[in-house]
Amino acid sequence: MQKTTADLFKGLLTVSLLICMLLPMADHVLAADEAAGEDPVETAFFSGGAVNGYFENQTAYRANSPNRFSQVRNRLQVELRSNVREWGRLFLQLRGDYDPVYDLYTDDFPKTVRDEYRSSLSAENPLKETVREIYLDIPLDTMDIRLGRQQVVWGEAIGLRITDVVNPQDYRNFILDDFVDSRIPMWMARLNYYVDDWTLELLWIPQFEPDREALAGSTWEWTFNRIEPPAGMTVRIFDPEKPDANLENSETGMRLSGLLAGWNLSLSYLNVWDDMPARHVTFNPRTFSLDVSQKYHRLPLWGFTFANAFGSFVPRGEFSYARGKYYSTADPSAVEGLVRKDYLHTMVGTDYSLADFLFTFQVVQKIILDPDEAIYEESVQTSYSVWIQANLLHETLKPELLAIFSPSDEGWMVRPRVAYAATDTITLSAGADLFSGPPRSFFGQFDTNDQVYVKFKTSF
Amino acid sequence: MTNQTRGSIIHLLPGIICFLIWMAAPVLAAEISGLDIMKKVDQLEDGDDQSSRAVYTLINRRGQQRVRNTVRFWKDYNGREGFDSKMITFFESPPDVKGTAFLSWSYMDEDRDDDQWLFLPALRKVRRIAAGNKDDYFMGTDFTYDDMGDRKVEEDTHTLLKSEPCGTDECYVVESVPKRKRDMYSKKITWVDSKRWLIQKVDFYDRKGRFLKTLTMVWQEVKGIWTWKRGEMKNHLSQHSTVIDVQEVKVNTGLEDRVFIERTLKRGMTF
Repeated sequence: MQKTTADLFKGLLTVSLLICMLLPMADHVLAADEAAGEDPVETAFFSGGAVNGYFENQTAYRANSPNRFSQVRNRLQVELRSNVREWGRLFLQLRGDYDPVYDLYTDDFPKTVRDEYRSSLSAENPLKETVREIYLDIPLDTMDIRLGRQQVVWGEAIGLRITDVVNPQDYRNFILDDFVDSRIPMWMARLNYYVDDWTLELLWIPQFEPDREALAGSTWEWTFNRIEPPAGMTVRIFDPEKPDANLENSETGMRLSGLLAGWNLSLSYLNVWDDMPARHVTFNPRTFSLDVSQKYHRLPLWGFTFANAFGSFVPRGEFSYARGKYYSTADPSAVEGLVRKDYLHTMVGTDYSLADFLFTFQVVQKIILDPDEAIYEESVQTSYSVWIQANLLHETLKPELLAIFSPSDEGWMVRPRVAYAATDTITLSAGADLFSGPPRSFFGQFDTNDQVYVKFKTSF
Repeated sequence: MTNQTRGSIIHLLPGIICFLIWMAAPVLAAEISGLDIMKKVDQLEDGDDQSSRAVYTLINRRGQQRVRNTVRFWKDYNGREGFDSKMITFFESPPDVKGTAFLSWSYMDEDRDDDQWLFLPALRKVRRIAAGNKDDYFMGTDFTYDDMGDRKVEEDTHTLLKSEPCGTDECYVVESVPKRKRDMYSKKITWVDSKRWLIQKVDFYDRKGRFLKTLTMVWQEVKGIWTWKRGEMKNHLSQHSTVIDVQEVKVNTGLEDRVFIERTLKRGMTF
């Protein structure tokens, strides 16, 4: 708790320092009226405030035993925007969650899970849970600067992260939440520099933050990659060790994106930490156990994306190349059960529009280069996805179907859903999350977690 | 000629003159063709740039209303760098679509599709999208993209049917039949103000020849440029209708090129 509060304080301090450094540049800021040829007007420090948000209840019921509610999540999200003088804009996103499932079924979950999942206030770091994003935008003539806790969204793929890996991911609800809700915002300084149709984006992230895995004993705990010890031996898994917060351990990134002969293109490079820890396995003769210490390592990533439109088709592609990821291996000669390999992650796909329907097809492959058969992870993982969305009855009725099939591990997920806009501010939805496959597959691990749900959302 | 006969002719003279004018009317009207009229409509001056706020009110058969507020900026490129025009639209309400923005670049080359991008605040991402089929309905309204003015004059065969009073004006009534057999309309009947070449009303007939929709329009003049003030499209089959109220129209304000770029999609109206 103290450590995370210290993290937040460091983030705030970083942003404050950056703001102080940038304030002298405010003279060069483009005020909103300048484009129209009007003189900037002296304004209050904060002006033009706006408040938006929504309240949402999502109630899910397990289709497998034990048949009970798996989620009754109530979420209030409030967003505040305000101009700061004539030179900046402030954005604040607050969120509060409460899920009574963790009060109803106390015997089904360990206390750590109940505390962390019940509500934003009972979680380990309530401040971080409730103040999701807070950043200051400073628009300049040829560049934009954004300072604060924020999300960076890159890439072309739908429902998949290939180059969209700047922010870590919250896996507490598996991959069922929209990315905008499951990306974990990070403290960072971000600069976009514009030249004609091109944008150069630079990122500096002072402190690394890892993915948030589902806790042991929770509904969506990952089991497909669980380490099975030899008979008679136990496994001791230690908490992951985060790298120290210092300048040397900060993360950086850059991306060049723009338009060339009708193609939307981007090239990116990230000098970041792998969001998932490597498992360093050692045999402890004193306890006759396998000790697993989880450590984070640097993972440089190069990315490339493209998109264009040809009639009703919008082909898209996304590629990333990662250098030196640590993989767990069964090779007894490997030091601490790990080998380093490069990998290539690719997606090619297309959107196809037909009347009120939009079809999205994607083929995704993750390939470990120079593979080693002893590596636990499949060296070539392929998946196919189809997403069909419709906009009916004057865009009030929106049925959709997402299906992902992974022939590599024979797992699949199907998510039908229908949303009805009852009014301009109220939307009612119903859907299902269905999984199948072997227990050691990404989707198959949740074969008994099928659920149906209804959702009520009111926006303001 | 007796005085009686002369008196009868004098009495009949106004009637005769009216009859001759009535007989000559089609001949006079025939001097201008349906194609000429629709070209004049198409060639109406729309300025170098325009900005406006539009309120879309969608009304279903039970009278329930949904309201969408948008702000639109448009710039005529007149072929500069190959562009015909560029347009950006921001959605201000309802709340769940607030912040959505749509950018479109259209080209002089008629064979080239528009380039279009959509910024969805829910995704925090600008996405390249397919140039919509012109028959697609715009934002769930009763207007297709063609109805909003995207349709080219050459796509239809135009026939002048008659001229008749419409309100305080005289209107040409033109029938437009699509040259493309697969078009969503079998024909349109358009009432065009004969003085200002402004469309007053359009009747749409579907592929089966059924009376489908009626558009009625009210115009406003801003700096010598005629723009929509109000357009109401009523679907007679579904009993659904859409009213577009256009407000705060500004023309020729010198909108800069940097308004119509991807950066603006994400930043919103802070240019």
